[in-house]
Amino acid sequence: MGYTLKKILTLVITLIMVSFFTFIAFQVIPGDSATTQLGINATKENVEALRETMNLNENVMVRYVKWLGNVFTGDFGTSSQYGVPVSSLILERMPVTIWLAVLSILFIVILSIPLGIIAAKKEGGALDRIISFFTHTGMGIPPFFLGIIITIIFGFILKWFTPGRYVDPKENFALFLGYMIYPALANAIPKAAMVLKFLRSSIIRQLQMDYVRTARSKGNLENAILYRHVLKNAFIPVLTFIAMIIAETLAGSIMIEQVFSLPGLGRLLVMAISNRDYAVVQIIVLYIAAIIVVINFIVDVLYQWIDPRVRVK
Amino acid sequence: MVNHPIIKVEDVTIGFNHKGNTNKVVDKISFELEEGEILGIVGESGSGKTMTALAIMGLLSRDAEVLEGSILFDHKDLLKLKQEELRKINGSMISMIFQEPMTSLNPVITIGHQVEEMLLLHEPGLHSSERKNRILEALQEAGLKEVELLYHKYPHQLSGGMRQRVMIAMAMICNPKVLIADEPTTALDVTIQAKILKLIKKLNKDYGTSVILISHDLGVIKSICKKALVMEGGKIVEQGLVEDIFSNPGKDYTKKLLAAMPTRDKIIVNDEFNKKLVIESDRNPEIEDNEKSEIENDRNSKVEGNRKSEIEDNKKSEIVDKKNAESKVLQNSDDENTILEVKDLDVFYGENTKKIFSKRKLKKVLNKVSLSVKHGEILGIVGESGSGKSTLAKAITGLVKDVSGEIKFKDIKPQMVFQDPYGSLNPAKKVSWILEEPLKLVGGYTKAERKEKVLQILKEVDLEEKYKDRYLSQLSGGQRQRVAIGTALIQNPKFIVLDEPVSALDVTVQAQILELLKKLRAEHDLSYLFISHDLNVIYQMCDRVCVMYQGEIVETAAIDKLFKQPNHPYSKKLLETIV
Amino acid sequence: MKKTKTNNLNFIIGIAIISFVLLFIIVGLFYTPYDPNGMDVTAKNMAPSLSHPFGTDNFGRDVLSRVMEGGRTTFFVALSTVAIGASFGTLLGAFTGYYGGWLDEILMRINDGLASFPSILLALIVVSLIGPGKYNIIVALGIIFIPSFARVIRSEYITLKERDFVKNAKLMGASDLRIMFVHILPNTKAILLSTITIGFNNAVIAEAGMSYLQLGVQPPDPSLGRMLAEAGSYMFMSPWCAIFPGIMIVLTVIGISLINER
Repeated sequence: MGYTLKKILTLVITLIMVSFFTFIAFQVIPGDSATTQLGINATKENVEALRETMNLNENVMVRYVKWLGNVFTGDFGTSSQYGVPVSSLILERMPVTIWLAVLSILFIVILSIPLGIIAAKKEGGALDRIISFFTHTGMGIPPFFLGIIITIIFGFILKWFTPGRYVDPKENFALFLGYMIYPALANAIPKAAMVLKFLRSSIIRQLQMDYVRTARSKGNLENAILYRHVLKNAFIPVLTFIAMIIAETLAGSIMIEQVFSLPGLGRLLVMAISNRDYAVVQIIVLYIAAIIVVINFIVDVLYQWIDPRVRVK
Repeated sequence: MVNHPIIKVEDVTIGFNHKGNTNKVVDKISFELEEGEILGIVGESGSGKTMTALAIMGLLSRDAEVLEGSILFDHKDLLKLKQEELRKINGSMISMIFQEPMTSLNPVITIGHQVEEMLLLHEPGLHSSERKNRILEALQEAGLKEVELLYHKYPHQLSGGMRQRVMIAMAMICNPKVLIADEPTTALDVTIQAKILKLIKKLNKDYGTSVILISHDLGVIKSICKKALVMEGGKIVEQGLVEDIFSNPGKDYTKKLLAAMPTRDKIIVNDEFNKKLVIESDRNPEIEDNEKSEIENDRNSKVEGNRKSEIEDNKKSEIVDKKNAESKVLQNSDDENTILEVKDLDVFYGENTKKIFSKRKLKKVLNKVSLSVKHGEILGIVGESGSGKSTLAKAITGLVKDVSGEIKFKDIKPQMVFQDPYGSLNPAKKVSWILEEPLKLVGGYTKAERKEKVLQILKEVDLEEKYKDRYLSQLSGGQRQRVAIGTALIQNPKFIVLDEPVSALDVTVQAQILELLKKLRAEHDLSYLFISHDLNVIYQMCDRVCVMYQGEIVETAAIDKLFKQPNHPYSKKLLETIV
Repeated sequence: MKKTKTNNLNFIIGIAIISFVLLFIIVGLFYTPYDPNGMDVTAKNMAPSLSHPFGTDNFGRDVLSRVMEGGRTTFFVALSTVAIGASFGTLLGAFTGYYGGWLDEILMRINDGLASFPSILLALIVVSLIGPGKYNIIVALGIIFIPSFARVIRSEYITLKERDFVKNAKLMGASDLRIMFVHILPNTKAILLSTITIGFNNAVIAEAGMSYLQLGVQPPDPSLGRMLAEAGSYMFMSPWCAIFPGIMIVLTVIGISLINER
């Protein structure tokens, strides 16, 4: 129990650190956001007035606490680019990104785990080589280029979907999903290849362990050895890897949304960066960072459940 | 009892396939295992003994293959059986225990479930409560205690000896006809070794299980086997009764093995007192397992005690600091004849707590150690792993900083030769670089002088000149240890600390290195502090010995005296473990 | 590492692919068929042909010439990035790994934290602060790569410093700096090389990604990622503008990972 409690404490501390760094990065480093907001031609009085309303004259720590309080109550400030509350922008865009991530992770799991097990089982065989070829290619293709290829093949040549014609989920959920399959695949394939390769080598490594020889000497079936003895051990390192993959999937959607013109958080972020709309940038960064931290926490907790060696310490 | 072979190995040849070439590792060997007997297979690493065992179990790795021959078990050729048939025999009829108890059990499955798997596979009809009873019984039979608790534990919570007992329980639970034990005690401490061997012997007696015991250690073979094979380079060079092999070795190789292993027998020829001892150790090791006050348990409780005596930091480190100042290494010791004088040495280990703010905890690992090394003497330190002998070496050479007490040298600081020549030399460098480095650090040599010195040292340690341009990966273990000795020697030392200098080497190589050390001592007027867990090696090398146990020196005596009349109970126990 | 036949084959294929890519870039240093930025209104969106083997884009610029030039930019950015990351990372990792202590603890906690964030996200944050551009992207990616090198080197140092050969060197009286850089560093060669190759690949992908988002190399300079971005709106009319630079990226990444796998 001490372990989980410790992890929760670490989680809280990390979240505070992340928020603090985000605050420093976007509220302090870029300089005076009052001047930025009003432009260089603003009068001194106007700037001073805005500084006052934005609390820019106060101590950094005081500002941080206030800012954090605002973030907690859902007051994310106003977008300088759109002139609307950041919270409404985020809420509007969030579902697209979440669906993209969920579908991507689903594809990653479906593709990588069965194929990884098969490849490890047939190590060195023809099937393993074919899978290995696709793994290499898959890992070498940046997701956004894969997105372009998928658009060309499935959109222009096969005409299975119309590139650029995104359907809002509230209008027609089935059509929305039908469209989302393609970006999710583009996002998932390179990561699935990575997981597959990692899982395969993890299984192969475990198959060479002494305890596998013991299991054989007991008269176990090869499949029983694989599923009863090896897989649990092999998944332990993969688990940490998966946390990284989920983080990568989130980051990958920034690119993928661009390729498939999806109105998600990623596109909003890129647009906001180009327009120096810090109010929007900081919240999206904070949001993605928080998700990554939480996922790492979940993996840590799962870890002790799957690995007794951690559990006891 | 009519003895007939239960396993008959005929003309078996095993090879590794490598790029179309086959590399024979076992070459046309034949032997029989009779019902109820314990057959020893002895040989150095690479002699093919493990391969033979794995072939019987059908467990050879993918790239190895039985090229010819047959292995008959119960009139069936195991090599021709289908996988399913073999699976039925493995575990229930023939079972195996392995060298590494630390890794041979699955780390994520409980002990109970791992043993249970045997029953599920081979006696599927059992009711679950019946199964559990059988498992608990088997664990008890293997000399384990608190089996209910053990059932739910994971392997990492057990000591090496306990894990090996679990392996034995698992192997024996289906009452196999044959048990193959591949170096079952090599990874264990000597005192535990003896107990595991006793257990195997007992199971053999009680259940009539035939045993194949594989070991590189002639002592182990001798202690429980009646018959034995000696293997070298994939061939059986000698087989017969153990007594005959020992008293009258037929082959040069066996003689070499025997010569390399100074046994107590040789030590005690014509000695009344020792005859008695021999008789005692020859007495059938009836199982006194009742008095199972295992050293293991002993140690556990002691460790607990140590933990309690963990000294909370601040106070302690203050003391240590103060003492550190006092215990400045004094050179020029008073006594002309004393090379090293250690008085009341305490050593602490700072536990790495991995936390930024927690204070460093110091744990006492050596307690009031005093010893002295006289000029020209070899002082031995003997003890099991964890007794603190390596820590002592590090403290003397100055590698451990948290010490209090006195360490006085007559001359300059000692050099040190480490246990593992694979680790003690820089693998990224060539031999000549490694030998030159100490000269560079001392300074004052020209490049030519350094080169010359290197050649001279290579000669001294009996290495050919061509080795100077090799990397370590191109050298054998013995050659590496020669280089390691060379790096110590090139600094013109008077005194060398040798920390298990031969324990990572094969027995025949061990003997050569020991000879070299003796020769160098004579030629260079050296003194050694010689640390080893191996009483035989200690006996061969040392003039006096200190016996270490749990961080303390429990006895210091001249070598003969210790072997004849050990005083401390622990010394006695230790001596009982050798043949 | 075990060397097998397949691994050797992988290595040879990897070398072949990288040689092919390098050929393009090296030739591009001295000669390109057309001016990479030269527009030709008479030759807009032309499909690959003999005169334009990779076709032309919507401004009539020759895609082959732009791929050669863009590949060079991408390689330049990736190499500079890795150089920054590897040199600072090695120094940081060596000191923290060898000495340990509270500074090491703090740095590594930060490092662990950073490592769980995808590099593209971190790069976006840095670029949003210092602005886009070729040199800015080198600085941004370089800084982001330091922790990954420091991490690898540090853990190597932590294991290596406990090895007996280091203790032996201490007994001989070698100074800390000498132990760190003469005794230990050569032992990290294999892992350092492999980290550099992986880092190079990540840098290629990161550069391409950032330029694709129009936050990296700025026009009119071509880079492989930038060309993909420019091709985006004309994908239906002239897919070759996207395909050829994309293939260059894929070949580079696959080639290097094949070499690294040996």
